[in-house]
Amino acid sequence: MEQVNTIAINPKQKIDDLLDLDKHKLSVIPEKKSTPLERWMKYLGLPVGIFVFSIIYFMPTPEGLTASGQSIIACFSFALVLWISESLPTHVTSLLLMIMLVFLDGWEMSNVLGVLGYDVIWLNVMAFILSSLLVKTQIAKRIALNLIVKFGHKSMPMLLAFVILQLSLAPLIPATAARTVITLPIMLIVAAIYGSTNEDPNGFGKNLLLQNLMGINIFSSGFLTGSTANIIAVSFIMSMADTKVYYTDWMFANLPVVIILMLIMWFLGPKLLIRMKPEEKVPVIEGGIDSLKNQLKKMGKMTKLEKKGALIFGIVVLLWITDRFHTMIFGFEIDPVMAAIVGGVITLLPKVGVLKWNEADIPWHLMLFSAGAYAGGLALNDSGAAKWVIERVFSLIHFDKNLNFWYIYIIVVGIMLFSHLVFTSKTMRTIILIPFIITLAKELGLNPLWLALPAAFTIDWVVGLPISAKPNVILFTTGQYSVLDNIKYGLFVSFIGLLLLIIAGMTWFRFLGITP
Amino acid sequence: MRIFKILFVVAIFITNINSQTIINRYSEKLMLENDGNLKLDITFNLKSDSMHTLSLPLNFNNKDVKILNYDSTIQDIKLEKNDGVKFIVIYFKGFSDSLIDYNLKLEVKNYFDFEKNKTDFGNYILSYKFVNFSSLKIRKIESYIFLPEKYVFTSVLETLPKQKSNNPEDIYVFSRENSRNYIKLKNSDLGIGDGIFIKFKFKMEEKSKIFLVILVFIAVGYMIFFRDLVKQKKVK
Repeated sequence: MEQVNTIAINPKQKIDDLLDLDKHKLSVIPEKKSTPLERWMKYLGLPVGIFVFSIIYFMPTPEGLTASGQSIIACFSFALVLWISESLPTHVTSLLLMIMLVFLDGWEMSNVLGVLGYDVIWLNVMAFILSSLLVKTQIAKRIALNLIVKFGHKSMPMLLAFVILQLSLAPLIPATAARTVITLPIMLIVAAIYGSTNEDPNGFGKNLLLQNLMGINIFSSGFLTGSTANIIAVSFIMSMADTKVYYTDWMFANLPVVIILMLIMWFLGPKLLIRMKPEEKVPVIEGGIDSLKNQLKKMGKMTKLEKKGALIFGIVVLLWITDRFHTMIFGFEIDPVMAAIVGGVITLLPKVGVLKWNEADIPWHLMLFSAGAYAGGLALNDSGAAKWVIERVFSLIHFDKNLNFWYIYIIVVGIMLFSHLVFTSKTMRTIILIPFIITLAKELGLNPLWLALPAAFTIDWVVGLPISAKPNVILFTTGQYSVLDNIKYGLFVSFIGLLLLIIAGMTWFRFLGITP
Repeated sequence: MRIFKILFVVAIFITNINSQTIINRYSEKLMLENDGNLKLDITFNLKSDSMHTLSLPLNFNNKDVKILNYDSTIQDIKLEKNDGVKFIVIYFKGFSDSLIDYNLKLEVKNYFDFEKNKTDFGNYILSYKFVNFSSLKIRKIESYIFLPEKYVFTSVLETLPKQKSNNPEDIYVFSRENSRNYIKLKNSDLGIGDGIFIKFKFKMEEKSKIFLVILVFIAVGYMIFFRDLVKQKKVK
């Protein structure tokens, strides 16, 4: 494989250069320099992937699993190794996965190809159109400059500002994908000001994007209405365990846990996981922070174009915020994806809109990555293979009444938390696991609430893989971090989160009467 | 013709009518053999009360069905067919006011034609339905469909009742017994005329060894073709 050299970024650049969209197009695949470890991973990735695939595919079909399910697990594991090692470009691996799913009788061709029409892909396309709108009209630059001038003299306060931003958006806009679309352009510009572009991502960009990925997902679990899956879980607890969980019960119990978790990650992320070089901790702008202040001053009052852009984006945000009143206002509910398409249409309307099609920077190669990866995840769900994997994990543990409660608690909450690695649907995961946990608790003579509610608190902690949730798919398409970065960061968050839930279970939840 | 069919079902219903009696549990094991024959093991559980006979539906029209064996609690079994609807008429030995398991074994000749039903990827498609044409309600029904040895299920195409997305309980489960894979389909409270249905794909559990060899070649070929990835420093 031919080695390519990086386009070296001047440590101190002019802000206009950094924010010049034509120079940093997401739709152009950046050429990145590999470290020796990365080159070894690339070299060994394909043979290791083939080895893993062969072991799973050629073994006798395990009891309870279909031949399709076995093929899908083998293909997905193969793709996972390739995505991590980057032996092949991620989008090529996704296309290969789609071919394998069909050729090895895993999933029907119509299903595999149909994934490109899924809401997550449409949302992705619209996200980048709206993002281009915010960038072209300079709204994103204005917000980003304001944020940096106020908090961004150094990286840590800047990262903290995003934690607070995501926390404040979470109760207002339940749709995680919508929150991602709103904040994405700001993230990209802030990352660029700190010298991180998709061509040459640095530690700050990785931390910023991954921390936001965590924040968008995890803050949803602070509120009962944070996702439909949370509501489903509570309705199972009510119907099967005869215990009512109110909005405030949920919020008082879990919101402190997720805030602490995010603060820990804000602190540990850049110090332990993705370390930042000293030059990445400050904006790489010629003239430093003063130059940014001057830039902001130079921008003056909002231009007509900015106002137009803000109005279009405001309509979309308004539709997202008012989702629960749609039926009352319009007589029907507008899905977040449809709201984004409405925004996309207005944005591209001649004379009315602000963007020409050629100005919309859509990374199509990453849409293909998303479609293929999502196809793998959906096939795992659809074939029952994901459920089979979780059932096997549960069957390995011999639960009985003599077991210590906290042992059961750790296992159950841990399985619920890490099960997001095999399920792409939070709803499906909830429907399968929460009733199972309630039944298990009853069989062990425990109050189902003790296990089911703490397990339900982890429903939205879908952070391990770029396909675990819609925000993950959208953020991955920025090219600021690799699959391996996502896995490392996501698993670390999951372990810290589990530890926090154990501590909370023994203290805070006990005080609230959730655990014994 | 249809009116005769209806009259026949009504006649059976009247002869067996007993508002108190229901079939508490109806379990059937359908064991598909390599030659396409089907062995059927039916166990049902009821209080026979004052019933002399019970007509159970036999959903294998136009197939040659043979009685193999039945319990000592059953006096006799006859296969009857009227206007295309087949029934097993069971004659009880005596009355019972407690729940008793009754068992009978049948064989359906040439039930499945492997040649005719072969589709893509070496899959076979099989569909099975049970319609409760008996005069009694069935409280709980379980149908086990066993594949011949060395065959595996590929996927389920359709079921009745349908698996609802908000229902955590599975309509069907896959498992294995004595090296034979089976699918268990269950339902409850089957009224007269209600049924269960499943359509699925299955195939021989064998994987191409040539494919494995090709994979090994690809892995080795890749390592040779891309060896510059790890040799770069030496080249420099």
